[in-house]
Amino acid sequence: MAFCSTRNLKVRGVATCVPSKRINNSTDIPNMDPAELRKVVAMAGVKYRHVVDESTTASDLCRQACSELMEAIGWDASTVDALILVTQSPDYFLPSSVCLVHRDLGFPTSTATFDLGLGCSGHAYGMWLAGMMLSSGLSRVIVLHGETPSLFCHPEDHATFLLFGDAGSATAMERGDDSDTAHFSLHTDGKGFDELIIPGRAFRGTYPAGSRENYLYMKGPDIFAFSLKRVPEVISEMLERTGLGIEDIDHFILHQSNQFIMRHLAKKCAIDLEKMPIILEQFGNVGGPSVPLAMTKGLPLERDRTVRLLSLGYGVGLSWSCGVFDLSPDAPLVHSLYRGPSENLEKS
Amino acid sequence: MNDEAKFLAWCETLFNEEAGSMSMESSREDIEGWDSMGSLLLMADLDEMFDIQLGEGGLEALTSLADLAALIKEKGTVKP
Repeated sequence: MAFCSTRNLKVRGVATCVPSKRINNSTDIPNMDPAELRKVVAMAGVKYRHVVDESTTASDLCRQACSELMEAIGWDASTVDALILVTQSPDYFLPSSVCLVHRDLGFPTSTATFDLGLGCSGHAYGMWLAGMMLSSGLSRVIVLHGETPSLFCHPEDHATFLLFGDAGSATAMERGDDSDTAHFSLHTDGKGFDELIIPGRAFRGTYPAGSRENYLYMKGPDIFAFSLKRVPEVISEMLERTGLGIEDIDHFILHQSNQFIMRHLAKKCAIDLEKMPIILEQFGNVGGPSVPLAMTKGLPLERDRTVRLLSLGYGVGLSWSCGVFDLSPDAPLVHSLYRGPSENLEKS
Repeated sequence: MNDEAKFLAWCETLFNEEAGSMSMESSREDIEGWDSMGSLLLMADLDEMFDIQLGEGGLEALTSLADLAALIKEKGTVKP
């Protein structure tokens, strides 16, 4: 069972970045029956989505988030030991997308840098990996998590097209002391690999340009069934293994999948909605980066005490992950609109 | 109201159909509201009201209200 507790993981801050282009689902979607549109929007809870243009990638959004976060916490790139980008929206098949962020923000050659190919469950996986690296002796690690799922969606598939937005994020972690304990539970069910899938665009299947197979397929009811089973399970497992109760968690930061599903899960798990931010209305489902986005846009920016968070991602893989960690009052939560490449590049 | 009438009334509310429009013979194809969103509503109600979690692919096995009634009768536990 992939459950572990790690010491020495201190979260120093979180930043997110979304594209400046905003779609209003109620007014900007042509050629769709208004009644169906209202129904989909009401159920998913998505009024607006920020989406990239053709020249912007997930690594661009992450680069800006990373740059702003390092400025907010006073970190110089030369002091960062490892930089991880969790994404399934790569710039290229190769090299790793994070190499571009490494170049643009002036990280030194001594920084370990790699991509991690996970989606909705990726944030806790990235934090766990960072925690392991800090435990093994590194001092500072930044986990980037960015996705552009709006580019995966076929325009005629309203179940996905109206749901997804784009975002990038950065979470800075450093080696703390023994009291900085974090817990992680990580799971996979590969039998459900085809429940959320883009069949084309890679080596397993090649299809002509424009083919439906080059876009996302989502088996909505199966994904809901998976969520109903796995989310309560992993929350129970986490609370049991840590000896914590629901009341010991200040905020439940769930992947922002769909408002209807999230509300049902909250009710099923007896989570007070006051403790569980839902930010779908303004951003839609941005994939795994919805976890850090729910932190920067759903948590109080000013906090008078350390808060304990339970984060939970679930989806493509099938993969699900849960983390429990503390966020101190001095850890900034930063959010910005993407300003384009020129302001982010290191002046050389 | 007998159990069948209660069941049909619940289905009509769930799928947003007119009262009295459904029978046990109504098939999935006949019910306009039993679309992808209706399926999510059904799954949520089955979970909440009867403690039934449809497995992945379990929804496809339901082709009519009679199938649904049989599932609830076989596996359902009415929550207090």
